[in-house]
Formats: sequence, C-alpha cells, structure tokens
Amino acid sequence: MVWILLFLAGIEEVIATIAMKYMDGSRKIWAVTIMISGFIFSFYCLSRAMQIIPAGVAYAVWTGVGSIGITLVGIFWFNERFRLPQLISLALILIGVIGLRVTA
Amino acid sequence: MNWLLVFVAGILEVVWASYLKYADTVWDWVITILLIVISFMLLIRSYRKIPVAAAYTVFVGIGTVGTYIAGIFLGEHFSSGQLLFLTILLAGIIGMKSSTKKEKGEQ
Repeated sequence: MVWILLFLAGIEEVIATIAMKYMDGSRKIWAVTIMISGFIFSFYCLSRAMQIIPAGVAYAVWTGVGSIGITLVGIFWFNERFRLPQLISLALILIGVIGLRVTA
Repeated sequence: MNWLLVFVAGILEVVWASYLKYADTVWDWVITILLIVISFMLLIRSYRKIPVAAAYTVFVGIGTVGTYIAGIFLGEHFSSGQLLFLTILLAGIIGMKSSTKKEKGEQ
C-alpha cells in the first residue's frame, strides 16, 4: 500500500511538472491549477507513506520515482533524446527502490 | 556564498522531510510548504553561479542522506542494507540530473 502511495506521488509530481511547462508564465490558469494540485497531492501521498515507513526511505524513493518519471516524460512527451548515461541512472534508481522495498 | 545557499537549501530539505511525517494540523502543512518553497528558491538562486548538476548533486545528497540520518536520530529503524540501496538510488538520481542537463547545454 505504502509503495503504491509513493508511486502515485511520483506520477502526480510528473503531472505537475508537465503542467509547469504549459504555464506560459502563469498566464494559463488551468495549467497553474493542475500544477499546484499535483504538487499538493504528491506531498500528501509522501506524508501518508512516511507514517508507515521511515521518512528517509520514503523521501529517497519519492525523489527517485519523480526523477525517473520526469526523464521519461522528457523523452516520450517532449521528444528529448535518450542517452546511455540516463539508462544507467534509471537502472540504478530502480535497483535502489527495489532494494529499499525488499529491506523495508 | 553560493555553496552556502545550496547547503542551507539541503538542510531545509531535511527539516521539512523529517517534519512532514509528524504534520497533522493545517499550521504544520503551512510551515512544511513554506520550507519547501524557500528550499527551492535558494537552490534555484545558487544556479546563477554554480553549474546546475554540481549544485543539485550536493543538494539531493544532503537531502537524501540527511533525512535518513535524521530519521535514525528520531528513533527510526536502521540497517546497513538500506543505506547501501539508498546510496545506489542517490547515484542514479545524480546521474540522471547530470546527463539530462548536459544534453540541454548542447542544444
């Protein structure tokens, strides 16, 4: 359950980041609204997760999932190039998250 | 001076992340959000003088390791296996940030 919360928090962070790209200097109200609610939900999920697992572990996983999500969005949504160092980094984050899940 | 901004931003990150666990009133949330905003403003300000990848590496390092250590002091469960996977995860985040920024710089 707690890992689903962290996964959700990561997705919400990604949605907020996409919305941020469309904000156009806070002129687009819909994008600003999505961004703010995305971040609030993300922090809410993080705080719920922290009540079950150690804060340090939840924080690390939350940062990692967000980082992977934002990179994937950059590649698949905004057509940024995918490079080998990113693939290695992605693998390291996944190993870290899975390892923390197993040792939790 | 700019590294001090990064350092303070990282410490604030540890403070809010440790505080969030115990946040249950509206005021707790207001304080948390305020700390998050200040932390990010300091980090972004440091980008003016320090390369983004270097600043972010130190920031996320202080945040991740600091929050875990703070948790131990606050009485959380601790294991060397977790510390190992935490370090691997941290290496991944830093690698991701460094490689992504490099690409933008080339465009």
